[in-house]
Amino acid sequence: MPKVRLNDVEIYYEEHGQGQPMVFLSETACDGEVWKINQVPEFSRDHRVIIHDYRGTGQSSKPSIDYTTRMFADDVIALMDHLDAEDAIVVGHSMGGRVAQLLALDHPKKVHKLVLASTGAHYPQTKGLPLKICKEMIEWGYDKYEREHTILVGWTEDYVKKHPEKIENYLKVRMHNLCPVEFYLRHLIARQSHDTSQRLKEIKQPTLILVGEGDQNMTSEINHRMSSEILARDIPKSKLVVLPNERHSYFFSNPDEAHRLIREFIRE
Amino acid sequence: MPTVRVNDAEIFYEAHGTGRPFVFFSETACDGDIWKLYQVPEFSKDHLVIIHDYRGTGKSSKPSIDYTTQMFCDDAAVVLEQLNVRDAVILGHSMGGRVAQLLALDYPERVSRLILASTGAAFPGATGLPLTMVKEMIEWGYPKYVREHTIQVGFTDEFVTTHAERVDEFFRTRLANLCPVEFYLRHVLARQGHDTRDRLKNIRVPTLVMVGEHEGDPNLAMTHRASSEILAKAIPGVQFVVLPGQKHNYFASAPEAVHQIIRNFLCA
Repeated sequence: MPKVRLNDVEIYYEEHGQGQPMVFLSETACDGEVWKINQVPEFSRDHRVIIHDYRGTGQSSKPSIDYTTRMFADDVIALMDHLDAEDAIVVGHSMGGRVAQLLALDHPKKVHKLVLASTGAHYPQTKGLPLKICKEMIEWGYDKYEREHTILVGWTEDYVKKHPEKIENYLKVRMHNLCPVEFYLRHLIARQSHDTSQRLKEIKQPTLILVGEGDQNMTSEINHRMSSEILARDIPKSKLVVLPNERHSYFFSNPDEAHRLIREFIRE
Repeated sequence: MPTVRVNDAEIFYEAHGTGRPFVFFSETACDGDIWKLYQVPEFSKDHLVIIHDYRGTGKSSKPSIDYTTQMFCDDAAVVLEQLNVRDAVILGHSMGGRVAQLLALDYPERVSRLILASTGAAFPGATGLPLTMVKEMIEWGYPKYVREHTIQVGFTDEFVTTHAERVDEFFRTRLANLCPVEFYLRHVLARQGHDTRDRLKNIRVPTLVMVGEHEGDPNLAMTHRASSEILAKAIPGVQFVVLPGQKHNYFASAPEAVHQIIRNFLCA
C-alpha cells in the first residue's frame, strides 16, 4: 500500500503508467479513487498518472485540525518531491483546481501546464461553512446530501434520466470511501477560505480552463461558471472552454470530450 | 394574537401582568415561551412582563435572509414602542444578552436596568458556523442535538439525575416549537457576528451580570464564564454574580435563587 509520511500525516497515493507526470486533484473532500473510473485508464497509456487522497479523505491520515488549500498543496508538493516528479500536467477539479493554482504559483518547476476544471479563485463573502450546505446536510443526513448534491450539481436532468446506471456507477465509487463528516466540513472551510484572486496574473503556465455550460448551482455567492470566467480573465496564458450541456461532473458524463480537450491542450 | 409588523416581518409577543415593564430575551433560536415556565408566573405578580418570539422562531415571521443581533434589537424596539414601554428592566439570556446590550446602547430611553445572564460581547476569531456544532447536528439530527447540547451545557449531571421531571418539562417547552434548522443556523450566525466590545463602556444603566459557576461550552471559542467576566470589567458599575453549582440554564434549574438575586438587584 503506497503511503508516504509527509509533515505530520501519512498520504496515500497511487502511480499508474509512464511518461510525463500528470497529477489529478479531486473535488472537495473527495479522495483519488474517482479518477480511476475514466482518467487513469486513459492517461496512464502514455503518462505517469499520480493520484492521492487529500488529508482527511480516503486512506490518508485525518488529523482534527484546521485545513487550508495551502496545506493540501504542501502535501502534494511533498508527495511530488518523494516521487521525484517535475514538469507535470496538473489537473484540478473544483476544490482541486484551487490547490492546483497554489502549486503553479508557488512551485512553478513542478507544473508544466495547468488544467483548471470547474473551479475558481475565491468566495468573496462566505468564509465559513455555507449555511445552505449545512442546512441540507442536517435535514437530509450526510450520505443522502452527498448523493443528492452530487447528482444535482453534477449532471443535467436529461443525463440523469438517460444514464441511471452510469450515475450509480460513479456514486458507488464516490460513496464507498466517504470521509467522516468532520473532514468534509474541514474541507469545505478550506475551500471557502481559499483566495488566489489577487495572484492569478502571476500564473505563468499555459492554462486550460474547463467549465460545464450549466455549472451554475449556488452553494454560496458565486457559481463555477462565474468563477471560471474570472480565472480566464486574470490568468495570462489561459484558454476557456465551456462544455455544452454539461454541469459539474463531465469527467464522468463526457470523459471522451474532456480527454480530447486535455490532449489537444497538452500537444499545443 | 398580539403581533407587531416590523418592515418585512411580523413579530409575535405577549404581555403579562401590570407594573414596571420587564422584558425577557431568550437564548439562541429560542422563542419566548421558555419564560412561561418560571419567570412569567413569578414576575407578572408585580411587573408588566413582555416576552416575544425572535424573527425566525416561534410564531414570528421567518424570512430567509441574513440575521443580525441588531435586527433582533430593532424588532424588539418596535414591540416596546407598540406597548409604549419606557424605563424597562431588560433581561437577556445568552444570545438574548447580546440583543439586550444593543437595546441599552441604542434605545436608552426604553431601558432602566439591564440583566446580562450568561452572555458576552463577542466571539473573537470565530467566524461563521462552528464546525463541532454542525458536525453534531448532522450526526445526531437537529432535535437530538438541541436536547443533548442543552443538557450538556445547561444542567449539571447531578441535576439531570435528581430532577429528571424538571428537565423533561423544560424540553417539552423548548422542543415544542423548535424552529426550522435554517433559522437556528441563521441565529447562530447572528450570534457569532455580534460585537459590542468597543461599546460596553457606553452602557449607562445599572447592570447585573450573572453566570453559572460551571459554564463551559466545548463548541464555543470562548466560555460564557470568560465572556461574562469581560462584561463585568468593561461595563461601568456592574454587579457580578457567579451562581454556585450552576451551568447555563439556571433559569430552569434554580429559578427561586435566581429570582431572589434579580429582585435584590431591582430593589437596590
